[in-house]
Amino acid sequence: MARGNPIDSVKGFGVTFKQIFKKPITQQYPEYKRPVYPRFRGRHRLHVHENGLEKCVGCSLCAAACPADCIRVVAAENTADNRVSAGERYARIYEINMSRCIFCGYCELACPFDAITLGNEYEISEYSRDDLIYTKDMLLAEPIKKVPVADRDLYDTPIPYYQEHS
Amino acid sequence: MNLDAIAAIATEYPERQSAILPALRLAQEEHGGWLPPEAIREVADALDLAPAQVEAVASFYDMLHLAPVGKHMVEVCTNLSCALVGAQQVLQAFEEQLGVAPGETSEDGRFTLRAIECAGGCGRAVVVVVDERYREPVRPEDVPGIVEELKRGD
Amino acid sequence: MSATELVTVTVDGREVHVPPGTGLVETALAAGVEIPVFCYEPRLGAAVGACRMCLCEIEGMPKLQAACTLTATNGMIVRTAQTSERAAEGQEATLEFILVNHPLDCPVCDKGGECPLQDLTFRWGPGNTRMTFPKRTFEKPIPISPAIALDRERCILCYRCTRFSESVAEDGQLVALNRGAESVIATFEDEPYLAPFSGNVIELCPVGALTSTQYRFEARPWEIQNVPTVCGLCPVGCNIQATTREGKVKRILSRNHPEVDEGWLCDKGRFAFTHLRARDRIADPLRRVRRRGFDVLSWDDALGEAAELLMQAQGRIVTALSGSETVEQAYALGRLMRAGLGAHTGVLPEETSPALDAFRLPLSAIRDAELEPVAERAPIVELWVKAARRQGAQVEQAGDALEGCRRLADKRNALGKSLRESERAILIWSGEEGAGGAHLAALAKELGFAGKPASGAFHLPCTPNGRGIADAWAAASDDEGPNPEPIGLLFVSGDEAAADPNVRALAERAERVIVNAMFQGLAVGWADLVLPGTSYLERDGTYVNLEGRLQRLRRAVIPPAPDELAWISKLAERFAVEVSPHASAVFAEVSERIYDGLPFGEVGEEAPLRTRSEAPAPQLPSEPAAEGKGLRLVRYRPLFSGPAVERVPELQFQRPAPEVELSPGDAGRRGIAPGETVTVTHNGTSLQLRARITKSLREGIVRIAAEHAGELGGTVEVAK
Repeated sequence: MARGNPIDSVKGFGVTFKQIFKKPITQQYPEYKRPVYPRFRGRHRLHVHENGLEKCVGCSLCAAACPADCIRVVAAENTADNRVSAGERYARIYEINMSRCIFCGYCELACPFDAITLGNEYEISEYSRDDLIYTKDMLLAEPIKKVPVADRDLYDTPIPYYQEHS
Repeated sequence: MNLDAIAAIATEYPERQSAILPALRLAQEEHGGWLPPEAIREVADALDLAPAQVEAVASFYDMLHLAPVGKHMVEVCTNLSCALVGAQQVLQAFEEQLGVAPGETSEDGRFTLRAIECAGGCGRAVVVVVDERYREPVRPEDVPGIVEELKRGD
Repeated sequence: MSATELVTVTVDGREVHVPPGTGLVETALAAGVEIPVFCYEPRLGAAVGACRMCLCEIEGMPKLQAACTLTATNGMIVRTAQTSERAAEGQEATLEFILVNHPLDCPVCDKGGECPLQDLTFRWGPGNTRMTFPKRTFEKPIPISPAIALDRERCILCYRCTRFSESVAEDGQLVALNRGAESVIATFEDEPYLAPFSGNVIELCPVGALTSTQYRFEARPWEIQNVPTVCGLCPVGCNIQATTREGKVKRILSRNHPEVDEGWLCDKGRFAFTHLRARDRIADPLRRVRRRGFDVLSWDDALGEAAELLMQAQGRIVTALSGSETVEQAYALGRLMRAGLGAHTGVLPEETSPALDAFRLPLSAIRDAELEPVAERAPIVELWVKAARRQGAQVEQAGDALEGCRRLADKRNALGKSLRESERAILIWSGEEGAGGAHLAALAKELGFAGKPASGAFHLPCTPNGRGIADAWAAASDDEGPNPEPIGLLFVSGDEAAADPNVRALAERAERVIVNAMFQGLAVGWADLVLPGTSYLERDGTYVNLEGRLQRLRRAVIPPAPDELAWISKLAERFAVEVSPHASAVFAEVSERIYDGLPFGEVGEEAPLRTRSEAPAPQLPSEPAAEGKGLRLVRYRPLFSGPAVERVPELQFQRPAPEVELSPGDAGRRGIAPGETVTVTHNGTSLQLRARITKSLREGIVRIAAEHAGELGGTVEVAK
């Protein structure tokens, strides 16, 4: 075994010693949420056109692209009295199994209608696996904030970390 | 209509399909210059073919009409030779005189105006075919006379 | 074939030797070069070169040529798009032209993912479009029949569908209207495409222009599994793929068996699969309470009840088979009833005879024959006969089975004489008078077909597996027993048997009835115990088709209840008979007895035809048939009938109208015009039906679909 130079150990402790005088960067999660990069891939969202029709036509290309096989789409035909999307076809069932999803974003890339995007929300844990299967209604709606935030002004950082350092 | 005549035509061809065209001409004459669906069905029955096969032929050829036509048919050649000596102006003159656009029939059902491709009279352009008779050469200034003549003839 | 009979063609620098007359597309394939095509399809007859996708440069010809329209000649030098820049440019331009008005709605289109246009554009097409103007639009989708939707925007006018309609099915109902840029595919006056083979155009369409309404937006190619199996709705046994998604059958596609179906399917085989999800499908065993009421039973209770009923009957049991059971199922049932209970009486759906095996041929031989007397038609057989006629064969209508056989066997008969002389003659017969093909076999023997390998005979049974179940039932036991009187228990196996009036009549005489059926409508009111049935798409096993070919049935979806083999095996256990619940094990047992030990695994994807086997051909019966006065009524079972078809909404328009078919002569003599309402009388009973004049019908015969014929039979009189 090679024997270290005792000076090296002193140098090492020097690094530790210097930190004593620095301000700690421990953040009080969940009260304090460190903002994510804008392109962070979190919980999916489905989008609608301005006229209220869904952008998704139920083509299943997202399901084809999905490496985790966590998307299930069952399509149906739009009729005059039940028009859901702009084209001939719409997604009658659209489900994402979040427990399988690896948030790779391939579904977003595959979508020919920009109907699905990955948002920035990452707080999606549940007590039951069944609750991790997101239905179309859940994906179309605004995400529900579940993690309690005591006082925004007190804890949430106004300036994102990456902006602070650039 | 004359099914026997069609059957007689059919015997002159090796295949029944070949008799569709002459049979349709006969049917068109009998149905006032155009082919209503009944006429197509009759021809199909007489030749023992599907009506769709007969309709396919009828819709392909320009001189078989699938919509009612007027009493008088005015057809103006707009192909190259005629176009060079002013077929467009002749057609316009007819449009003004008859008050219909090409491909339409006047409201009183008396005239149908059509722009057609070469009628084979390029030597004496512009060719105008009025009720299957050629008027050639026609100049825009001749048009009122022709229309007048047709109206008088009724 | 010797080398002198081959021609040498150079494709992209590779030399190949092919027989003269081989199409250039196949020649290139032999050289390992693919020439892309849309419209080319050898099964549709002569190539038309409509799509221009196959453009190639051929030495000695100044312009690019459509390869599909050319055949190989000696010394031909072909350069495809892979080596010729001009050809590649031409192909790219062709695709660009095709795409000028083709909507790029692939995400919505049902063809997306399995679309030749997508594939070829991806491989040979331009990378992007130069077209900036709006595309042409049409009203869409247009239902050209309840089962087929037409999208004219997507149509690339390859004319495959119209060529099928005109020169394969010969119905001529689907045509191209107008000319040039305005051409559209249409039916006459937007009438539905009413033809027995219309569904094939969906599969032929190389784009998403013709799509199935049943499959509309149901699944995408990456979400499905295709199960290779065999259609169980008629004795032809067309090879099919059952497309399934999430445990449900979504569509049926053909699986080209060149000797059986050549890749065509009838609409019944293609569209009738939704009967699996019929509203009155039985999923649980039912026990009768009071007259028409039913109680749901657990399987344990149901098997207990069934065992008790079987026991109580003390062997006085009659088993009515429907002809749609698998060989294994019939054998297992035979083991249970015959070996376990000593009940040897089985009511088979029709008479079958092994005598015809001596004149066995593949169905494709019909196409190559030169002389064919034909009695009735089965769906795909009809296409083979049409193909034969197109190739110049003489096709004759020969009347019904018994009388026709006797006539042709007569040495003085002209047609019989030419049949004796012909090397390639084929007899096609059907009908109940034929004694299951025995008369036909006698005729074939009389005509000397035994020594002619290209001559043969087909008897078209009514049931999909009548032959197979007859053999399997017979193989189940060597003992025989008397017919029970009175009948203690009637066991009805399958829906066709449950719908059969003869079986119903038998049930009147039985003390108790057990029915194994898929649909409540067929079991309610007369069965004491109902056991849920399964369909051919839900079973594993084998079928024997009308050629005598053993074909493999594969389970495409799990049935809502255990399949027959499973509970027959359980039930047999109670009577000390060992029957395996697995089709492979049961087949091994049957095969030992009747199929020369053929292993289950060899009843393959594309089953070969067993060789001709000698069987003693019986004599033709000599007594003449009783001739009555008036017109002879032929009650026929229409293609679009039966319990499955009745439960498919998309097929209702195909079902026969209440009509009586007359020959033109008979109609003329009675002054009957087509479409008139006439009265058909027989022995005092009469029916009002619409008259229809059929030119191909022989004089003295009228035809009525069995479902509209009521009590009529024998000879009838027709009057206005």
